[in-house]
Amino acid sequence: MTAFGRRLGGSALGWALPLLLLCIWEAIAQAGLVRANLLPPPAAVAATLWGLAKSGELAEHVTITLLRVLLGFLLGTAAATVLGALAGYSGTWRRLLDPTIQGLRSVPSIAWVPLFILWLGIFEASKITLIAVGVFFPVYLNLMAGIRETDRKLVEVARVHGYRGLALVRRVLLPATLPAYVTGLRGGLGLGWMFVVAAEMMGASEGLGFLLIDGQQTGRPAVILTSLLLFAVLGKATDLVLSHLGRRATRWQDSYAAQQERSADAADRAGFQAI
Amino acid sequence: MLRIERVSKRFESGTVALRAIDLALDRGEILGIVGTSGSGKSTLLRLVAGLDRPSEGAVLLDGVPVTEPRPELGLVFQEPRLMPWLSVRENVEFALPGRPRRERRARAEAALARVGLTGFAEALPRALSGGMAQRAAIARALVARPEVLLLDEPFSALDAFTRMALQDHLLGIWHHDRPTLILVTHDVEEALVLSDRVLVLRARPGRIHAEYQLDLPRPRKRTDPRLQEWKERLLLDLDLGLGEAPSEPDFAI
Repeated sequence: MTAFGRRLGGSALGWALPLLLLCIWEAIAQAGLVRANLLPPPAAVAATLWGLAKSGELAEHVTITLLRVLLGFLLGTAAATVLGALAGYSGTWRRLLDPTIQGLRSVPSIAWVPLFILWLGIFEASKITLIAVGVFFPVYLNLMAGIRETDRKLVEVARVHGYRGLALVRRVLLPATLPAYVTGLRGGLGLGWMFVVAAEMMGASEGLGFLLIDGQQTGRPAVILTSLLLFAVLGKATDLVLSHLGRRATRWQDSYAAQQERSADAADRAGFQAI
Repeated sequence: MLRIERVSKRFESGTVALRAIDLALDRGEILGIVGTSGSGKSTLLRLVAGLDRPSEGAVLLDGVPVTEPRPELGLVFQEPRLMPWLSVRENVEFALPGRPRRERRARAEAALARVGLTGFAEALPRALSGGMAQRAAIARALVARPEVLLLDEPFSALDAFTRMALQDHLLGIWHHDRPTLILVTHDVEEALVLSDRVLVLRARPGRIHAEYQLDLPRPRKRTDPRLQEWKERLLLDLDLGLGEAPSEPDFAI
């Protein structure tokens, strides 16, 4: 099998379970085991999706939700990058910042909602801030840990060759930290999606979270399921983008997963030559 | 050219790693330093490299005190310590910050050719064997053309065959450039095969116990009976404590 073929085969395997669930779902609906006003058949959900898409509503909801996640993600990541780098690089900054940040982390993030609404109103600012708060912590924690765990021996090599300050950060600390940073970004994005739902359920007139509440209040489970499905697809898609970028930036990593991938590729090449 | 004047090193824990070391090296000399762990031999090398500061005394390179790492002082560690995200060539170029790209590249390629790694210039470090990685580390230390090359047990993590090959390799490089070499090792034979002079350090506190001038021509055969005689004397000097086992723990640095 070629590398491409195997990748395709690998993702085909990933599709098996969702398809099986879909079949079971359809079977339950067909057999009438659950009332349709509680669990509509897949066809009804597809029709809802189609209807929303045709009216242009779908694009609107998806766009606004994506935009909120994106802005919150950028804002939270920016703050976390600056503070995480400071706390990771300098012991003084860490002793100054970290206890406070760890303290704030213990506040369940949804608990900020009333305060944000009071301060920032019920429109976009409070929503985006809430998402940014969610994104902030995993990025901050991973970046700080990544910098602190950078191999002291590599830093010493850089010192021997006269690297100081910014040059040391750029040439050694940054590349060494990148894998942990990417992990943080992916975790942050996941929380970003969680918080956009919270924000949109709490008061919005559009967005996928609003669609959820709307479906519940108007008794249309097909709308709720459609929204859930879209969250799954969008969340997975955005994570794929990040993990793909991350993999490109950290290709040098000698981890187990990378090893597996390489040896599989090598086996492919060997097999290819044998043919 | 390199002088170590009454250098002592005390750690914050109170351990005296080195006490009153006096030493002078000639240009192009190969000095071997042997000692058991805890004898302060690596500490001494780090002081010379400018990575640590002595508690007392000074290290002088051409009369100027060494207080921080300098390009004239190349250092090879026990492990290769290559940046895993840089190719082998980029790792060597790493030792030439601030130079124009073209010059960096040309010099790195020349240094890699000297250690026989031309074919691996674009490989990532993870693709190298232990011996190849250490050769890349030597190329990185050489590329800045240091006057003094400091080697901290550079071959101790390698198998016996690779170690011998790299020892010969190091001599080849030395014949070519004649840098001053300080080789810290716990392998007595390695010190004897390579050095003009061998120091024996003893621990608690780290101090020079004995010093031998080796007037044997190079290349030296490892089987040379004179070498074997030296070896026995050195092993006695090392006081490996076969009779009276030390009860204190060793602080390997």
